[in-house]
Amino acid sequence: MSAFWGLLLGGLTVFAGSGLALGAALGLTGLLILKFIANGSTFVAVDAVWNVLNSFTLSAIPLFIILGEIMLRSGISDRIYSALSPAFKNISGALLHTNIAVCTLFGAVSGSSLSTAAAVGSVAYPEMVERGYDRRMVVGSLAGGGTLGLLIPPSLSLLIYGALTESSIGKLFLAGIVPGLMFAALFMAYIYVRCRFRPRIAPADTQAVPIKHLLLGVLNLWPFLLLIVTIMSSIAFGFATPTEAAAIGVIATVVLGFLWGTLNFARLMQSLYNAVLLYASIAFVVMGATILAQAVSLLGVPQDILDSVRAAELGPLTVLSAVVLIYLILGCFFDGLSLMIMTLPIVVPLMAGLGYDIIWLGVIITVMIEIGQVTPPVGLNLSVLVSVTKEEVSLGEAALATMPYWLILLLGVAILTAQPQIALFLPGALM
Amino acid sequence: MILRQAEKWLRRLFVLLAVLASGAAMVIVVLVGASVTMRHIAQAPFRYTEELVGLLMTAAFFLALPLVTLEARHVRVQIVVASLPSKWAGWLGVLSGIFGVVFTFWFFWLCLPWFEFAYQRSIKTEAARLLMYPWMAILPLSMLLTSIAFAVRMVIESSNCAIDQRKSTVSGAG
Repeated sequence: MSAFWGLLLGGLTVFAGSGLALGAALGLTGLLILKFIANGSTFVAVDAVWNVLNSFTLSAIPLFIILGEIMLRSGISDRIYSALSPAFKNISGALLHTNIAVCTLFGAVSGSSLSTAAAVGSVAYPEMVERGYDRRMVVGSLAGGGTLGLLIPPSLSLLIYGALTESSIGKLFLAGIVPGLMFAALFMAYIYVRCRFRPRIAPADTQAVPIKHLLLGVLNLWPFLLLIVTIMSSIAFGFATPTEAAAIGVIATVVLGFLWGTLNFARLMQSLYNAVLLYASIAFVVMGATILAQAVSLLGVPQDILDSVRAAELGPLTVLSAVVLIYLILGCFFDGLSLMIMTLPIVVPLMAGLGYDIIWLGVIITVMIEIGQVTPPVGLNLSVLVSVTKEEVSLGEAALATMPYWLILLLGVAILTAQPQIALFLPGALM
Repeated sequence: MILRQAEKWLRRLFVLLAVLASGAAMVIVVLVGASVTMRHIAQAPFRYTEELVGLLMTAAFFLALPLVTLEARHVRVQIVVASLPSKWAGWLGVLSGIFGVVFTFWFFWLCLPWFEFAYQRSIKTEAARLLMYPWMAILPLSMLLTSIAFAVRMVIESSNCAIDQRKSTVSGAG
């Protein structure tokens, strides 16, 4: 087994460290293990890749990426932002709360934290800077709020988790709702407290907003709200598979974009083209991780680790803490989805073997990779927002401003561990 | 000069393949949308949707992969590369290119007997009886083109390194 670990860790360090595409680094390590440790069983790699990439469940992923791209390019985020911004005008923190609310709503359709941060950030940042908000605080709220896109269903990470672990995607989506809303509430509570003590970071707007104006703004979003409810309920109640819901979501968004006049044919084609390239870069990681997963499972590695953990009499909580720590460390170097894809073959069998619920685990892993999205130096949400600000806010400043949200996410993991029912109540009640 | 020309032509080919991949994605959306409509409204679902969507999605990925590689749009760990002086980072880029070629060519090699098996037996999908080898052929083809893309990037990196080295030698002599 030491040869396996040597080749695994050495291979990944050398290949990934050289700047090689992560998918190729994982795949090459997997092929070497199959060749030299699993008695030359490299032939299983092609079949495994073909079967995983052909899976109908996985086909929801490119469709949700297309959905996010179309929304990003058709300016729908702009419309949502305008409708929701009066709602928080008179609360301490004002538009900072709007950032969290819009990220929550946008995350409920886009499925990706990167799309969420980019779409909301490009609308909110210039507007808020003009109004005198603290730049770093704005970026922090957008980076933190952006992570909600990964947890609030339909979520790309929960989809990939469900497809690769063969667990119910409907249950995973339902399990993500309450924790997602909990994080949104915690983020808002932090903003409120911070702005109460330091009011100059969010200038107060004393102009009262008539309730009628507020309601009309929100009512104008009805097609969008209907889209969210349709996607979520059709998956949760089994009317449609995630792929079908995603396809209907894409068609509805295209129709909506054309009706609202925010989308044209050229933008639609550009969205499709970009989405396919983004999908290819994610699927290449899935391909490499699949080869490595074949090697890992052929050699019975998860069972060996489980046996060792049992022999060492480590409690489930100790193992969970170790897993959380490993995700925190790896989150500094790998982007969230890649980290999840490459760790699932070992982490899921290990934790399930220790008695953890696989649906709950999906939510916890998603929160952990959300943390990775805002952990420098790789944290992709931070990089996207730094470019949205045209580098007026540096990566270091963005990371510091996001630190409170990072801590809230970590606190959330502790809360969800202490009270797993927060995640498991909805799937238990509805499915 | 020849390298730049070759890269230009390869890029055109790879963009064409990526456009085909976008077309496949569009067909997936339309097909699944039509299938849902047929199932709920006409109570006559298409029996081939799941299989065809899986094949189209695989095709989309493998058709887009060469361009993603040529344009270095992959998910990568760049912390080591970013912390090195540009000369060393360039040589590390060459090394990663070699690893990329090894992986994709090795996988291409593994695909050949797998494809041959499907071709000789004219294997078809379970429900819709779609002939599989034309779809399976995309896999070795894409791996071959992707290994070429890795090789082109590697050669570009090494020629950049050589230029940097010459510049530093000239400035050192000056």
